[in-house]
Amino acid sequence: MTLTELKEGESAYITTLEGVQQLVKKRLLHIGLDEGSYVTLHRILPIGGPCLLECSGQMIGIRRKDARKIKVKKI
Amino acid sequence: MSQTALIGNPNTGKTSLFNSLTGSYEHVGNWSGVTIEKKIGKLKTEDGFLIDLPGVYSLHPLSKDEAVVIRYMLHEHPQTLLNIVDASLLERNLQLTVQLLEYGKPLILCLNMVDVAERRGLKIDDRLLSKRLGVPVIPVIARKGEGCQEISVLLNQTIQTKPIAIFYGDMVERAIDSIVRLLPENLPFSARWLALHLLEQNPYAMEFAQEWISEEELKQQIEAVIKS
Repeated sequence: MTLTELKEGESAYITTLEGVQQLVKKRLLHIGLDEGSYVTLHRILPIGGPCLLECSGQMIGIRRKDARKIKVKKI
Repeated sequence: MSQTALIGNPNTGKTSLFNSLTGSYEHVGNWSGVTIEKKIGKLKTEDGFLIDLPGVYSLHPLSKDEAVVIRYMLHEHPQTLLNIVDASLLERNLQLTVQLLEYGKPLILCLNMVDVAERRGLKIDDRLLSKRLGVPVIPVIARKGEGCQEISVLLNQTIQTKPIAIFYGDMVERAIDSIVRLLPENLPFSARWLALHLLEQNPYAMEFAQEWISEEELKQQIEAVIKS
């Protein structure tokens, strides 16, 4: 499943970042988000707006378009 | 005169610390990207200059303002690095610390926002951190100027930093070795550090090293590693 299919407040592990735009992938890697990272979806903003994630104590805002490319697995 | 560079993630308190140590009044904000170019200040307590740099997550720049740091490290030669980290987000911050330790210059780690971390229930063992990294670690509250005294004392001494050599696996190590062999011996910083950034294809490192290793040669090296 993809990150955007999680419900608000749910957590999951990232299984793959393949297909994520190269620049976004690099940025995520620099702040410590990679395959295997544990993320929590805090909010999805309406009308195609961005998502708010939490990962190791930091809040991250990313575009819905990019979040849709992130594949995750619930535990 | 000696130069100390202030480097850290965005919004970790670099400019606050800069103002405390130099007695200047640079603009500080509680969001990322307030400092977009380097600023030079004279240290209050000793001879020497402190360079305030924009915040970065990594030395591999993804935008122009982030390139200021790698360009500074390649072309100017700070004697000491002052690495400020956010104690409440230590894991992310230490990623940059590793890249700075690999540079091969004395480094002081300033553990900022210990108060914020404590409120989140995190207690950082600064002595153990210092032992593991082989560098002095100073807890500071940059906003209030706490810990600046200790930093000044350290800047007046010769700091011993244990060189760090993280093993990146046989493949990458072989590539590092073959690149280092092409680089001159009298570089003002660690050749291994430059080789790592060349392997990452950092455009500024590639430009810096082009007289010794062309883009074509570098690509061949990388491909040889992937194939082997």
